[in-house]
Amino acid sequence: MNSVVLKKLMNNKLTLISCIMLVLMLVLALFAPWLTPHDPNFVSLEHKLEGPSSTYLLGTDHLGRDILSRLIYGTQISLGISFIVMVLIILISVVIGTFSGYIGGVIDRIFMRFCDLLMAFPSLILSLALLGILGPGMVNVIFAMVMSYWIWYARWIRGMVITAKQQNFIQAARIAGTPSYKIILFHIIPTILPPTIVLATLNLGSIILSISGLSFLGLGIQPPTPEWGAMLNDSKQFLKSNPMLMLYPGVCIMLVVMAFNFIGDALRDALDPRQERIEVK
Amino acid sequence: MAWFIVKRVLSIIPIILGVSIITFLMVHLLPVDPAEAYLRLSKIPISDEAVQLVRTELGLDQPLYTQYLNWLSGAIRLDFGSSYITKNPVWEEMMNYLPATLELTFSSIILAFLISLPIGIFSALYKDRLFDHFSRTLSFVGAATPSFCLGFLFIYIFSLKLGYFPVSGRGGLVHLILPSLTLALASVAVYTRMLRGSTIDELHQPYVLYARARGIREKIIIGKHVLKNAITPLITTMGMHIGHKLSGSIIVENVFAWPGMGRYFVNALSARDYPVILCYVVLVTTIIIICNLLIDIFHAVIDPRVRKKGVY
Repeated sequence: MNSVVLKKLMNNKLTLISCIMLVLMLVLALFAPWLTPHDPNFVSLEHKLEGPSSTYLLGTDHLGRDILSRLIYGTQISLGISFIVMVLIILISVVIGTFSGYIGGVIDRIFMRFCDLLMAFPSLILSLALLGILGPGMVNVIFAMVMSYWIWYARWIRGMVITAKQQNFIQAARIAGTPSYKIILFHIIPTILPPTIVLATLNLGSIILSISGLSFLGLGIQPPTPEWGAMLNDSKQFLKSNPMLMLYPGVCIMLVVMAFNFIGDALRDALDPRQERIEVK
Repeated sequence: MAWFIVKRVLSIIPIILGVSIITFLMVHLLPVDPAEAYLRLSKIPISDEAVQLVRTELGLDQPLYTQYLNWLSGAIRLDFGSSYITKNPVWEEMMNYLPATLELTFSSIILAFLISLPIGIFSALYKDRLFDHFSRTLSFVGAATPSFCLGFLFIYIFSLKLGYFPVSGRGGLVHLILPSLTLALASVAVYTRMLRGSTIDELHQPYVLYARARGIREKIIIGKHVLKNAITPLITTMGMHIGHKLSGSIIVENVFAWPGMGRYFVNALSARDYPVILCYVVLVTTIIIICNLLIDIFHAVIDPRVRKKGVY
């Protein structure tokens, strides 16, 4: 990424705000133990369902746990898990997509048929079914998410590899007799990596949304882990008396997802000049 | 034309078979024993003899491919076994829940269309003006709001505070409005931006310039000519989104206690009711495959180029 792209990114105020917000969230996630006023899982029933006060800035939930602390720990869970899921997806799909796209032939055709098959499943239903069978829990959530979303990225990367393979410098390298592993490692992967990273940021928001959806249905991350979707699920019985309990985690999810979407959009606009021409017209 | 349709229809059979194999393997290869789940749900104490008995009863002691073929021969006759919890045939239960889900899905698609149509067109006409910015912001917010938050927000405002709509359940039109609106708004953002884009593209076409030169009123140009062309990609996307909506309805059904397939599925998941899980995944995936097939055929009917090429 060069300075022109960076400059373009920073020109947009919304992108700047989103970046600042994500950095803030990252700081919250990394330094959660030092920034939280209370233990997120400390139950004190005599303080349950309290409104905002000087001890509990956002009040307490039905078990008397400090909501602010739980929200801050929630950034850790949401950002952490979605990041791990994304890294795993990209790793798997770069390996498989590059392999299939570079080798081509029968292997590629088998891969494409396999894609047709796996992509016929709606991702949410596939991940729900996997979680239902495996049981809830953090590791299972990561596994189910990776298993139900990787194929989309793998096929996309395969397409990029095929386009890259036809470019002159790679053709030249092949004619010069460079071994395939070198071409893949030093030419193909560096070519496909930047757009892949853009795609990953573009979609981190939707990964966060899906994970919180799974937790909301009670099949994802389990209470008492302070995950936003699980917190929402926990507090739905208090909708009538304490609607704020649902509002806080909901707003958190919304802000993070929006920040990722804005940055993803801006990245795409900045890196894809074709897009810009359409905008100008 | 007929040949194209026959070819497309035949091509979905291996995909549906493959989907059923993957789902079947998924349910049976993962580490939890269905026999134990059956015993737990039937409230029978788990002992080695009991597990053995159930294994023979459910045919779990047979090799995996025999089990699959047994399941498949049943499935073709719409016999998906019986639920571990209720002991009723899964297919019958599924058919009880299907109408509610279809009602929700289709009403939300229609609603999404009705909402995004005016917003998309006006954003294109007033490009980069206040309305455009407003709708853009709204669609960004909409795309980032989880449907369960939105659903509860609606319940809180319109049901609990204002009392306009019932909190949950299924009944007449009043019950339908909030859930289908929640499900619809998730895709309004996408549809609006798409319609805005295609309308702007169409407005730059020469035929619009020509029509203007002929002195035809702007209203007629837009309403009669531009709209007709701009709307086609939207309709395709909406068709492709039926699957998206069917899976999205799982969450909305749970928020509004809507008695549909999605809620039935989630209950089956938390109880590990394997026949229900298997039937739901295969059924919904098949519905989506068939929807995509219908869209392809629809495209071939209106666009001869598709027929020649064979792929879109």
